[in-house]
Amino acid sequence: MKTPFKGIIEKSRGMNKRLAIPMCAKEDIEIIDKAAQLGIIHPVFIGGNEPVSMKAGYDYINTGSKEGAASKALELLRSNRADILMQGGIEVNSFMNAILDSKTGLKSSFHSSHACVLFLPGRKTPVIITDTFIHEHPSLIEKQMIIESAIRLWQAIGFKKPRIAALAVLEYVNPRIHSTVDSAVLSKMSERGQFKDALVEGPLDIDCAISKTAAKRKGVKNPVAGNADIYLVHDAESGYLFAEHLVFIGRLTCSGVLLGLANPVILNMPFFTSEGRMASLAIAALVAENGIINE
Amino acid sequence: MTGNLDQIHEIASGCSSKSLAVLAPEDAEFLLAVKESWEKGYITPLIIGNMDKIKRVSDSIGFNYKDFELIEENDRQAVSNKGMSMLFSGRVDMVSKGQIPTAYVYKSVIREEARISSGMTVCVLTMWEIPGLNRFVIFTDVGVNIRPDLKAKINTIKNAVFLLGLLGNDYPSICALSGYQGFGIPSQSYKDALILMELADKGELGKCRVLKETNLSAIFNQNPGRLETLDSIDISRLPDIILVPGLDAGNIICKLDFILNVTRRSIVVTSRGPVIVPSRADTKDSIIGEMAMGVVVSERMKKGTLK
Repeated sequence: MKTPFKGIIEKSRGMNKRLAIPMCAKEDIEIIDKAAQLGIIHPVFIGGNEPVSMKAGYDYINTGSKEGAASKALELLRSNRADILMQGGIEVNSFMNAILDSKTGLKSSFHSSHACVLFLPGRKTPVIITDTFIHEHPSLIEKQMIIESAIRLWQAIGFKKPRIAALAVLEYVNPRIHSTVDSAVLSKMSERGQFKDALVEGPLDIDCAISKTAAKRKGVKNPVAGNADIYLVHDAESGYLFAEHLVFIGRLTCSGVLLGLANPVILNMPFFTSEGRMASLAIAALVAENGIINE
Repeated sequence: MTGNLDQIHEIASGCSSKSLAVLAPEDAEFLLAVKESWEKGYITPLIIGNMDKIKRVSDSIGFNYKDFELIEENDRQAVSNKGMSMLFSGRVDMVSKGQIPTAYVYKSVIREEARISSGMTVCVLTMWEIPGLNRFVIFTDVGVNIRPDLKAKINTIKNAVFLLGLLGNDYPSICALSGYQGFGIPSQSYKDALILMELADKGELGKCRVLKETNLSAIFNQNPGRLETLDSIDISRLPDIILVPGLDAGNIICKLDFILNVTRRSIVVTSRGPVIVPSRADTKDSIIGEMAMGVVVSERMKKGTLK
């Protein structure tokens, strides 16, 4: 299998995490089947494609409506009969409302956030970009939780001591620009050991975070500059568009998972290829095994 | 249509040398770019700033700064103001920022535009040359407006359309980017995008069209909501102008040239001529490229030709 995600996929083999998929799209069946063959997941199809799932010998639960399929999936997760949830054929707004419902959803005491995982050119280890979906205007406490979730994800996929770039539009603190202030505070929290052995540095402009040459030209010297493992963006819009440009202009495979909930959730991101969706399954399995924050 | 950077250098070489107000050149890499741009015949510098600092850097790179007109000024805002008023009075053709904060330069431009009541919004236009695409793609505003309102977005679009017009692209396509994905309340960027589509349809944004798509996935995916393979990406679908929702997103996207196979050139187009605003991380070649772009823009603005 020629993919930069090979190591992550290998690591997730044999975990056989139970994956609940309401109204599975026919395009996803192939990768789910492949992930099941590798022992990454064991699928439970809910509603939709009965003939296909039955033929392959996977679990299938028949429900009438789409809504019924989504609530059945959530019921399986809440009663610990499934470990991972996939969006499947449920439209994004009703899916998000269902999983974020305080009574019947998957909310934990944590704030949810979406993380994209991809491999940048010239780097052997992956990078995480977060939050790429949820928070339009995250508060500082939400950013703190987004970082905590990303650190846990970084550990779950097999790495230690992440170097985190708290991005902003420049390296200086400008009280008019929120991202510079938030990043400075998070960086100070890191300096005082509040993120344990993860290192948060900011505010960092993207050029300094991503390129050693740029950091050198700007005279920015710290262990994160030019070498970030995790990119904390100011808001979900920036994160989403950042990841999207890497995919379409840079032709990079992107994967990802929704974090900070009682279970990992895989969304239908429109810039994930089948390879990216396969990697997302592996990542979600690793998060289900090692990455859920319970406090 | 002028669509790649080699062409820009070629055209700049054929233009008369442009007088350039250089604001506080105190960095060797930057001053080397000024020196080489002068040697290429692109520009004739007029240097404003602290002469002790300028002498030190000039000596380190073997540049005879005394051969040029010099204006001693130690206050950084005053350096910028002097350069900009020279541009607006027609005393120089272009301005380039050296080692002063960009905010000072924007302040000077805003002051001068207000003085002549041009109604122009100051914005930074970043152009990408992308392999396989023989036209520039502009990202804007990637420098001035932190959270631009609709009026600023309209003016920004007009500025980008004007610049592409100078380069011979008469009817550019525009994508007003938004991260809104149909979940929750539509974001401001999405609401603005819908209004911009309407305005463009009514012809109120000039000669351009605003795409119905508000993100790259919608532009590139042939099967809605799904990217089949990376090989299926057809780069020619990329619009000519990408309006970013705000500075945080725009700054990230436009600087991805540090890891992607694209070349970036940025410029501020005022109503009296171009202003070059190199980032502190930019290299000499990149700055020379921006000088060349400035020369072409200045030449064509003076001629008033849009071809």
